Amino acid sequence: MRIPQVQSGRVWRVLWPVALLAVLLAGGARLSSRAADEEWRVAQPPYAFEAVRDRVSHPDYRVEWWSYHGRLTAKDGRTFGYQLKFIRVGVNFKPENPSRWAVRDLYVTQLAVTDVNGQQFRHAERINRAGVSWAGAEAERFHLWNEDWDATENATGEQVLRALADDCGLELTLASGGEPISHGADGVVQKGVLPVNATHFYSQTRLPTRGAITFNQQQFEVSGTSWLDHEFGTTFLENGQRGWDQLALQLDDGTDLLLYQSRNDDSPHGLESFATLTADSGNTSLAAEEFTLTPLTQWNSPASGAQYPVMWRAQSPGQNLDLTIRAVVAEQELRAGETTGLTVWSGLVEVSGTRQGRAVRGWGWLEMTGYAGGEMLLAN
Amino acid sequence: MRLFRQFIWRHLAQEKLRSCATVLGIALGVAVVLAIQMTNASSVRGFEKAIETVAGKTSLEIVGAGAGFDELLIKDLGWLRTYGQVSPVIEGDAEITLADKRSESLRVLGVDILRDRSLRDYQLRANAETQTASARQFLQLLSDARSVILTEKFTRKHKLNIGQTVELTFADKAEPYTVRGVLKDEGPARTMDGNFALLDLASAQWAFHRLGRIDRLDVRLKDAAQLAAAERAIAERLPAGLRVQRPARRGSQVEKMLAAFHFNLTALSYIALLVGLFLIYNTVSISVITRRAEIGTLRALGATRGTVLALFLAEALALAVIGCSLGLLFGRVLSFGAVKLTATTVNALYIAAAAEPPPLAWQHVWIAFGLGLPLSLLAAAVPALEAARVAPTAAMRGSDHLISRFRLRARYVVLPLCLLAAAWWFARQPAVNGLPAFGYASALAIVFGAAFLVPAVLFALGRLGDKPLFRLFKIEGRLANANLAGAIPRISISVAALAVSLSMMTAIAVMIGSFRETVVYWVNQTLVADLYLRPATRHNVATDAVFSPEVERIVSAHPAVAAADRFRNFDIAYGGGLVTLGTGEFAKQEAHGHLLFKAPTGAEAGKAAIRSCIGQDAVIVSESFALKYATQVGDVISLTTPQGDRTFRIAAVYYDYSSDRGIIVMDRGTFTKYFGEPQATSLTVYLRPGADADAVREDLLRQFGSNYRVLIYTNASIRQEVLRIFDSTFAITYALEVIAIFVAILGVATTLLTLILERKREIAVLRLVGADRRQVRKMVVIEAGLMGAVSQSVGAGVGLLLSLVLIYVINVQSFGWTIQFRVPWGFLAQSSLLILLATALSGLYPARRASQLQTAEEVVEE
Repeated sequence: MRIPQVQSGRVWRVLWPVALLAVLLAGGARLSSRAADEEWRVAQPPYAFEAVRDRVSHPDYRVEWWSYHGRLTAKDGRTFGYQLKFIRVGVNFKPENPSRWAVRDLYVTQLAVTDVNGQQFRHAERINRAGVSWAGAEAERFHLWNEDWDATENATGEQVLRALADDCGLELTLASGGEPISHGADGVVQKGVLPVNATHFYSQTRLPTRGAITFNQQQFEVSGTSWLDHEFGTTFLENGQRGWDQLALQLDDGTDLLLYQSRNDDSPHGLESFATLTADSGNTSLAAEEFTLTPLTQWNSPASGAQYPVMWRAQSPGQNLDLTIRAVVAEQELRAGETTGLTVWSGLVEVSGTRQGRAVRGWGWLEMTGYAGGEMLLAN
Repeated sequence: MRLFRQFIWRHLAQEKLRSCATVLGIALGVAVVLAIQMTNASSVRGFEKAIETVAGKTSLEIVGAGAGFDELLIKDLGWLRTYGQVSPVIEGDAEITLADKRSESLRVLGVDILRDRSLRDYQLRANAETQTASARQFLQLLSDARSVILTEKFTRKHKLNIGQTVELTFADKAEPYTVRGVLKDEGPARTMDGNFALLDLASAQWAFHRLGRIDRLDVRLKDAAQLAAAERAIAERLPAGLRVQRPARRGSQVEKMLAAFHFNLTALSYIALLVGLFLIYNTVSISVITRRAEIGTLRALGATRGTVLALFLAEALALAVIGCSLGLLFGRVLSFGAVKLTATTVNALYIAAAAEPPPLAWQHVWIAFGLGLPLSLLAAAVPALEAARVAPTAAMRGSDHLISRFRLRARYVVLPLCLLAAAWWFARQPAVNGLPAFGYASALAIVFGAAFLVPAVLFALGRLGDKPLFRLFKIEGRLANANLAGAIPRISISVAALAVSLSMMTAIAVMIGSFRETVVYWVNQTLVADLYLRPATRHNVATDAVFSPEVERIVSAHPAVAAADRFRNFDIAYGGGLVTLGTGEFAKQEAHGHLLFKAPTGAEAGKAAIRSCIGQDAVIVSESFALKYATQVGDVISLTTPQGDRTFRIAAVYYDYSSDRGIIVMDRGTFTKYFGEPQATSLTVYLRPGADADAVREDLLRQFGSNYRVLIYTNASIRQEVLRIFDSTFAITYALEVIAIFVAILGVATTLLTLILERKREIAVLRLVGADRRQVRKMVVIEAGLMGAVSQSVGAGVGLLLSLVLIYVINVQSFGWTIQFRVPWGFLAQSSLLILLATALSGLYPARRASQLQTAEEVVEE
């Protein structure tokens, strides 16, 4: 199933929101001629995160997402990777149309489950406007939903995730882990050259998780660990940026590592790249020049034609860190042409290598965007 | 085969005029039937096609009990997800104003473009220059409420481009919209031949003043094979006030609504065919009569009865095949005219559909030949059988060369009387499935009765007409009368055919005349308000276009306005079909209005009934509703409301001629209680005494400014408008009749011509005894006129009978209107004169032929 952007016959198969997210991520200011009407808040330092306050939605910012992913094991030893990502993208800060269906925000939710033993991958995606409460993200309490997929908080403060699609699904309870880890400096991650191109970004790593995974209509009782990335800001991409690679790794020596690399026209490892290393000793922020990410093995997606590096080498001489990252299943591509038109690779990886001279192993999550062709270019 | 060539073909070739006339007669008959078939098909088909193209892959739809339903109900319908994709829809009509200030109608679909894609095939045509901007243009559909997507066909026709601004009028409000995309010519883009616009759901709601409401939910099942099971399961789970149906259901409701209208047109179209068949009967009879001697010779030479029968049937078949083929072509041509003639009616009274006759298909060939050939053969069978019975010896001897004199037998009177009795019985039978099948059987019996009565009438004329005709036209009159009396068996058929057409003409004229007078009376009595307002895009009662609140405010705030009755109506499903549910302000209606009540009788009782509805679960219904659903005052009807089924008492039945679908009207208060606050679809304005309606109209239009498009009728212009629609409704009726009469007069001319040719000897003898050419000519023209006169007198008499059937049986059963019987004497006198003239004129050619016949020499030679 190829998702062409512009077909040769000059007929563009209408995937309404093709590049919709890309366009939105690229910045609304250029999108609307009524720039004056736009009142989206810009991420500015200093910003101090508060665990409870910042878990909810921040509707003043244009783009926001909650990305849950984790590695779970069933009683019989089968291993699964999962991802549930709720995305809110602002379209029109204050729509003049009083209709309930007038679009202020769009809500995109991606669900993916990887069966490591069976080497299979299933995913589903939903896009909705708020309409009659079809989808939303509450600002008063923690409640994200897209039709009957949701993320809520139970009486004991645990996060509960529920999402069931045709051939994959999950129902998980995530206990609270350690303190949230904030990325960047002063609570702000600079994502581009423009000052407005910045986000507030924190992660909650090592959330003890239990529940059930559904894969191909079969249900498995599972337990394991999850990771949450919650990021909000006003613009994410700008001219010259092609996409990004992001790794969220958990090592067996207790280290958590987030590596973000911005691939730009002029550099595969742009200046906006950053990393955060969390060890017993605390958080360490690494600038772009303090680490490298080297693609090793390429995998060609037969469906989208995109070529993804599914094996990476991450090195940071200053941290005495040398890791090899390998996708557990090569095909973990979310082809969402039918809904958002955004095709990304997002999946479970395993890690091995050395840190501080000691052999380490672990697992993690890799997200790669901007490989599937021209849609990111439409942002320009 | 050789025999056929020599005996029939040569003969047909010799008798060119008669052959041509017969072929033309059949062709026109078939053409009219076909044209009406196509026309009827086009109006329903146009509507169904629009439903189909818009529906796309929709397998089921969920609709409400009122005009759409509260969108918040969707919140609790999340369970529908297990069955398939669900997409909320707003649908309606808008007008687009083009650069040259003309406007065109657009069918508008408002959907959540994020989730509707799986239900319909949209393809966006990328513009070479704007290709890369398309994604952004698209996104602006969501962010800019005044965005629209048009179709490739439409934009090409009107030279519009992406990014360009167009003016769209929704209901009463005109606003600029930006073209954000162009749909490729497929799927819903084919709706209304490309006059289709796609809006985002939110924009559509706002534009149509339908905030908070959804017209329906379209559902695409995951498993289309489970349609019936899913429909049942969904129906069980839906809350009160919502129901699930297949999209085609709307088509069949409309089909049912139009059935009576179509049935009547079809019945009418068969008259032309009937006359055409009379012609073929006539032609074959004449050819049998004129060639008795030849038949005798053939039989003597060994031809069997079967051969003779086959020969004459083959003659009919040859004529019919040519006639039907021509009819097929004529029918296609006529259908364009017929579609035009009916479009106004269909659009004004029933549905908005772009009507265009369907292309000629095999099914039409089937109709033409399947109908034309067997009926022609049947018509020819009677004279052909007679030919087969010819005794060879008698025929050859020429002993029956002259037509046996007509003798008045009992059957010539008894048969027509029996038919009339049958007609009487048929007329008293109830409708079949809402269609007046027996009514038409009755009409048919009357028509045949009239046809069979013609010989007796001609006989009577022959006996009684001698003296008066002599006094009027001298010797030529007497001769003409005698000639006709001597040729009764032959001319009967032509005269009968003409009489039948004329009787239908008379009947229809009487019916329409009576109907028109009734409507005029009704209009004068009930349309008493000073101004009538409707949104510009509301072309018919089915268009759901409501006023902007601002317009309502301006009207009611005007100092000259005493009262403005806000009326709202829409279609609801009732009894398997559609009826109109309306709501007005009964207090204002009682104070200012003048409805005519059928029950209770009397203006005061009617007003009391209206008063009694206020604050009660009571309604008033139109006469059509009462007749169609056999209800009367005091009965209780059950309506599905958004709150579930509720019962309403019928407080009164009022006369209404604006629509033949039933109308139920309730007071605004009652309506609001069950259906929610109504928005007005029309405003009826009563002015203060002394106010000048035209001045107020101008003033209101000025206040509305250029943004609001409102049509304001003054009392005089609304009356004109009603009658204009009325007259256009019957235009097709007259058109069909004129064709039938033309065919019948053709028959008279050919019959005369045959008679002349056959009476060569007599005419020669007349010339021999001193008659000059002028006298012969005069005689023949008088004969023609006499045939016309007999036809018209039989036609007019029978027509009056028929009109009674039309008014009291067929109309009541198919439309449910009370029509006051009136005889349009003026029209009858006029048409009689015209028919006399036309038939006399048709005698001119035969007369010339007669006068050109050689004199004595020719006789001697023979």
